[in-house]
Parts: sequence; structure tokens; C-alpha cells
Amino acid sequence: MSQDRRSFLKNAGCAAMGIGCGFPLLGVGCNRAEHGEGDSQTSQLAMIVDIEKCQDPKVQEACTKACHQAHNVPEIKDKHHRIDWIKSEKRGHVFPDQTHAHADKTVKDMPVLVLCNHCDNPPCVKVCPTAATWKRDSDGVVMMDMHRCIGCRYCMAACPYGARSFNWSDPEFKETRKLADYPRREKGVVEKCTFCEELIRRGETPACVEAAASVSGGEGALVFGDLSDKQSEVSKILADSSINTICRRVSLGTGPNVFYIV
Amino acid sequence: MTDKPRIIIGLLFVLVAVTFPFWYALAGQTSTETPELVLPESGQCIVGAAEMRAKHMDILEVWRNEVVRHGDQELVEVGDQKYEKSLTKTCMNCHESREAFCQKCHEYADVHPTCWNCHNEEKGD
Repeated sequence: MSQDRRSFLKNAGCAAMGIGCGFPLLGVGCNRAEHGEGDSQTSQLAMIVDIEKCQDPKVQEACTKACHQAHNVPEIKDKHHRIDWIKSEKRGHVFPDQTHAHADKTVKDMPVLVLCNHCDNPPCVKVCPTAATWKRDSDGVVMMDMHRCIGCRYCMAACPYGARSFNWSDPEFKETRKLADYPRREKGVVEKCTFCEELIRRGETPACVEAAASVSGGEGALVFGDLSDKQSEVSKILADSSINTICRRVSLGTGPNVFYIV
Repeated sequence: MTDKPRIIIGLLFVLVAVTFPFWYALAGQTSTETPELVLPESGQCIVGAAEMRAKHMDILEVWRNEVVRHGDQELVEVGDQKYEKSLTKTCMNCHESREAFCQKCHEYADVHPTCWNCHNEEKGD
């Protein structure tokens, strides 16, 4: 077949464009093949907060103090610069779509413990440009790698629960805090609850759960366990038809794994 | 040959510019002597001194990624000893002072690792 120069160049150009368009698809295909189509996650850790039992200020304080001490979280007075891994929020703010205009003020202002929800579908993970935050396959914990965080704060914008805090300055500590066996953070990184990753890998329970149980009346205020294990306490509570459990802003589709007994 | 002085001035200028780092170092009184390190008494490390000198940063990075990102806590076995993959718990357990060990070479090589911005020394500052 004879072909002139002009049509040869046209065909070659079309072929190059076709191949060029195909490469991204090939990449997607390879990724799928590598990571598998389905969910490779084997289990999902979850927490259940009993709002009634957490009404005791002692329980709330014990939880936040234990957490912040275990993780070298500094005390910062300025509310815009505060760092909280776990804190008390007003119920009206925690469950905005479950509170109506006629609800009593005491109900709206009721304190509720909030922390990272370790979502099934975490928006913070999707937006992170450096993969400094990721969802761990082995237990579904949304992890943080401080070595990788560049402090862009996309994750803070993406998180609909305000579970993340930014280090606006280098943290200052009292001596006792600083010497704890846990790294501190530096200016310019984002941090949050990791379900006490350093404790659960040794088979222990998170610091807040431990602390709540040690306060009288706080037993069972926080329950921690594996959702994939049908015999775990969390699975049993969630399956119990006599216990009303809810989670935060379900309509967003993030799939929170911190549940509340109301 | 009216350009001779200019060429000589130019050459002198180049000579000074090229040798500037040496003058600068002399003026700044920085030492080029190899730093003397305080070595731990046990004398045993996970790899030889030469390899450690060249590769400690790579080893630490591999450990960091394995532990932090992959949750791989498996102990490192060297001979009959087992070590945790940890800068503060394994390395600093023998090399007790970072001032007397890490920092001496890092200052000499003018490198500034950021490990201690966050990690705490077990035995305090």
C-alpha cells in the first residue's frame, strides 16, 4: 500500500494520541490489579460513647487528661490554637441534624465527648497530598505520619467533625510531660486521635477508655472493640435493639466508627 | 598588550573567589579535624562501624517506614541479640548522649537532622 508523507504523518499523529490517551487507563487498570478491587481491610476498631455516663465532669476530665498526657498534647490557652485529640462539645454542635429548634437548652448544651471517628470512608485521607494520613488495612484506624505531614491543612478542611488540630507553634511542656515515652510534634503539623495506636498494638485499650473506667460511675462510659468480631462488646451493644445508638452526621457518607448511646 | 593589568586583576579575582571557602573556614575557625566520639563501652552495634557511618540514616528511614507506616514491629536480630526498631530505645540505649555522639559528626558534616524536634531522649535532655 503506497502512502504519501502527509497521510503518514496524520496517521502517526492519531496513533500517538490514541496511545497517549490509553496510558492513564492502563495505569488505573494496573492499580486496580495491584490493590485488588474489593476491600482488603480485615477489621474495624470502633468506640461507643455513653452520653449519659459521660455527663459526669470527672469522667470527661479523666478521659481528656489521660489522652493528652499520654500523647504529649500541650495545654494552650488560646482557643483558636488549641490542640485536642478528645474534648467535650455541646450536643447541639455534635449532632446538628439531630437537634431541632424546640429542643430544651439543657439538651442542646449537654456536653458530649468527641474524637476522631476513624471513618470507613475518610475524607481527610482522600485530600492528603503526601499520604501522611491513611486508613490502616489491619484495623481501620486512620493513622498520622508526622514525618510526612507538610501542614497544608487540607485534612482539617475536609474533616466534617473538626477532629484535627494544627500546631501553630512549637509546643511548650512542663518537664514531666516532655519526658513521656511518646514523641511530641513540631510547629506546622496536624495531629489527631489515633485510637492510641501505640497501646492497641500491644493489646492494651486506649488511654481514654482506661481512664473513664477508673472513675467511679464511669465504667462502660467508653467501650472499645472490633466491629468485625460479632462477639465483641461494641458489636453486641450496636446489635442490641434496646439500646439507641447514633453516630455523627451519617448523611455525609463518611461512615463514622465512633457511636453514641443516647 | 594594554589589557595585561586587567587580565591579571581578573585572574586574581578568580583565584580569590575559588579559594574563598578555605579562607572563610580559616577565618571562621571551623576545624577540619575528624570529631572524636564518645563510644559506648559494649562496643557492639547492629552493623559494623564503617557501614553504620555510611548507612545509619538509611537504616533509620527503613525502620521508621516499617514501624510507622506498615506497623511492622518485628525485632531486628543480630547474632543472639534482638533489637527493637527504634532510635530512642535501641540506638540511644547505648549511645547515651546525642551531644557526645550524634551531634559531633552532624556538626562536622553540617547536616541538620530533625529527629529531636519531636523525639524525646529517654534519659532526658
